[in-house]
Amino acid sequence: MTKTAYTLNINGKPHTVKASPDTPLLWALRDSAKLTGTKYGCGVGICGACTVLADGVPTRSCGVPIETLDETVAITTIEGFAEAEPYHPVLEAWNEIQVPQCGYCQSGQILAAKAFLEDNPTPSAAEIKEGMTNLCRCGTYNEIAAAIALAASSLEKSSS
Amino acid sequence: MRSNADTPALSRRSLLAGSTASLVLFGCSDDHVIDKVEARAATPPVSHKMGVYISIRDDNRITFATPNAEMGQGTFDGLARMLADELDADWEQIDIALSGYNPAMFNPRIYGQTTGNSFAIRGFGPAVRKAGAAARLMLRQAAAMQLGIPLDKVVMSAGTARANGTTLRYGDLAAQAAQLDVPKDVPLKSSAQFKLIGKPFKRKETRPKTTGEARFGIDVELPGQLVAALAMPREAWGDVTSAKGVEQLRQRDDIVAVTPVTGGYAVIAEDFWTAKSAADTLEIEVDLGDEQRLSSADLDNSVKTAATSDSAEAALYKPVSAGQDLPASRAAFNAALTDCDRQAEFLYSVPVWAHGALEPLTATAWLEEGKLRLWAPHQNPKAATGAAAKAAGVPVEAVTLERTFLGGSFGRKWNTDFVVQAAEAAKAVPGRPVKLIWTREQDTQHDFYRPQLYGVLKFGCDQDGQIKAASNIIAGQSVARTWFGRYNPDAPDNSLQNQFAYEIQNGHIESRAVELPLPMGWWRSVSHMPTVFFQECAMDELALKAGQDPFAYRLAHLSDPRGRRVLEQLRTITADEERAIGIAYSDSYEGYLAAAISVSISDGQLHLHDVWVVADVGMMVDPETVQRQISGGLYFGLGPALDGDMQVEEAMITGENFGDIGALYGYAAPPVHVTLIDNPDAPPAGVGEIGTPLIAPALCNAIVAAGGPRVRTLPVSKSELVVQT
Repeated sequence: MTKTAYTLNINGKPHTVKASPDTPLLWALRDSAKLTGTKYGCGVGICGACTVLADGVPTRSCGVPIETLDETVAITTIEGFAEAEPYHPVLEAWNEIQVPQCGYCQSGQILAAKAFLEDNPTPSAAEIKEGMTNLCRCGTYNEIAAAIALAASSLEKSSS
Repeated sequence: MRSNADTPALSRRSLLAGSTASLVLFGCSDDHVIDKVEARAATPPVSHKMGVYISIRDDNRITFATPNAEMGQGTFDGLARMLADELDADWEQIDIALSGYNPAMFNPRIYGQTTGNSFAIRGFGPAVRKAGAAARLMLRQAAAMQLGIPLDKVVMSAGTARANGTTLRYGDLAAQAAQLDVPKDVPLKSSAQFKLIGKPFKRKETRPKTTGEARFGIDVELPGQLVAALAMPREAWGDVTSAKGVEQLRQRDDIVAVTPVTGGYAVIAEDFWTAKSAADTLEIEVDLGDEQRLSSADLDNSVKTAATSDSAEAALYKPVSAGQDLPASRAAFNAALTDCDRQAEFLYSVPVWAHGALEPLTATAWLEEGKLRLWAPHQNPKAATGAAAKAAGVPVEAVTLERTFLGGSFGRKWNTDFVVQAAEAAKAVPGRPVKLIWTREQDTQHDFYRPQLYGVLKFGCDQDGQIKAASNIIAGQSVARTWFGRYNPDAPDNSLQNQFAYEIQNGHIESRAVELPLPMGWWRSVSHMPTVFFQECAMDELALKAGQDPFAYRLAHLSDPRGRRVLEQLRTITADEERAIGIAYSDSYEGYLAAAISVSISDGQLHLHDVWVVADVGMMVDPETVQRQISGGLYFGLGPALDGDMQVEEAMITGENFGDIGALYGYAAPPVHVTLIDNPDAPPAGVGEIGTPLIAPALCNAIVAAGGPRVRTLPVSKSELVVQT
């Protein structure tokens, strides 16, 4: 297969991937950029383990061919998100509530939650439940809901 | 005792976090970690080993080599806390490293280093507590010698030994202490003396699991590493005979190797997408041998016939007697039944279910100069090491295994198939590490599935509804048969373990193993899920027939005070619930659980509202983990109870992905409210699997209470009700 060079904007830095055009962003992140915090779960966009932010929008990277991307799209992975000092309130809340069990889905959950709270800064319990569509096979759903509620309250305090 | 210089492996975050967050080691000392190493000091600290579990460095860091796999059940932290408590260490100075295979790490409850059957805290717990207590005594002896005072004058606390106004850190004492003999039979603390066990401490793996730093099997990255994808047949059983398209791939510049492995072909490239896209072009054929192209209806018919047949001599199945006198107990039941005023018979079944761990199967192997190095997320290091050695053609002594975190497992990563394939792939690229990754579709279609089981439960009751005779027969494929490849009808077979949770007179219990070709495996809670489903649905059906309240009916057949207490508390908690509820009770893994779920039905749609659990699990190392294992375990059982049904069509599994296995999403998960009974002096129960069995019977009992149908065949989606997962 012909491999082409694509330059992506990952966590604020340019990264050039040489790969076939249909290579999903997920595998470019993992195998080329060596950013393994973004996980492979289903490959068809139904589990959310591969969620990254593309210009702030939660995006299931297993379904995004790299040929559709260029340097104008700012990709944020969990590694980039966790670089911030101090931690983003969502990440703090995840640690305060101690959400993870096996932990494999949590990168995607955290980034999905961050974007969810930007859309809806004061969600009800029902809205959290409906709005979070990432799969957790360990069943940390009660804790995810608690962490999002806690993060929402921290964000509200910091903005007021 | 030996001392060796270690290179500290510190991640950036650990350094930044400083003393507030302990560093966690993930099988350190390898090149891939050294890539990221930032040395703490110019002179590396010296590490002193004290037994198999503990290393204390002269910079005062203590490493606990945990014998167990960590797959979300929390024993990574739990066992460390048990050890650190007996050691009187400061929790902040403890680091945890995942161990590979070490025969000296022996869990007496499961006869080895295996992680399974919820035996970590129960089996390894006492071993690591003893190790902690022994090391504490050695450090205390060293302090007494250094200070020239009697042992009993030395006070041990929070990582220090103190006497006469002098404070010595464990790191100061380790070199001398490590020279001493490891004492045996050191007394352990009483529950009143615990400083870490049962207390709210932060779990050490939480932070790396929220930053992307935690290393799972799929994240292994080695110098010069290749990636392998598989081509596997569509059939779920049979021997691979041929592959079309191999030569074309071998011509390609971007394909490093194509090699047959057990169960398929491995296609090896520089990256996964290239390997996977190429593997997808291969067509794999199998020889099913004498095993026909069976479909679900055939499998169902075989299991059902075995369960319902009256003839013990039928060739359909083999009785699993495990020392029972089946003819005698059957005769006693039949005799008692004739004296009963009322009789009832129920037929239940649970279908084939898949594991669906979020991290697909993966392992990394590196064969170089006769040595095989493995990296794998694995529950069973001895089996993985042995099987890989055989596959690679090297002696087992030439194999090392480093374990990673498991991105879920639920029993699946106990099997060795994927590690064998990685070792076989490594043979094709000697000198280079190769990471094998299954696709989700392969993970779904080549699982070792939770068997389909049927249960035939017959009861004789008196006029008040009290059970006076009971027969409980289950039939299904034996996991032990699949895994061990042999069949011993007289040996215990915990994949077909059956029991009554209540005191039943004239009880006849029977398990029947059916031989079928679908591969079977250990699935969270093993046979407890089906047997608790059968019995707890039957108890509700009998209560309804007797016109009795489901709580009262169960309590009338239960004298164990711990069991009665969880049921009575659950009754109190749910007393004011206006919606229809269903309940279930179970004693398993040395714990006692009662669960209730509230549901409603509108326009044929089933709505789930709340779940309540009352649990007495004895001593709790981390109550928060206990609570979450119970809620997570319930969810793990709830999804497939609603909509899990792995269908087989002509030897092929039709499902492909998470949407086909009854995986439960958050939007379909009712909140779980767990009440934990404080009982610190009772032995700890296993909690990783204890919640899973209760939800299906509670749910089916609730559906009846809400005016819906009695569902005796799971999943619920097969009934007229509409469900969401």
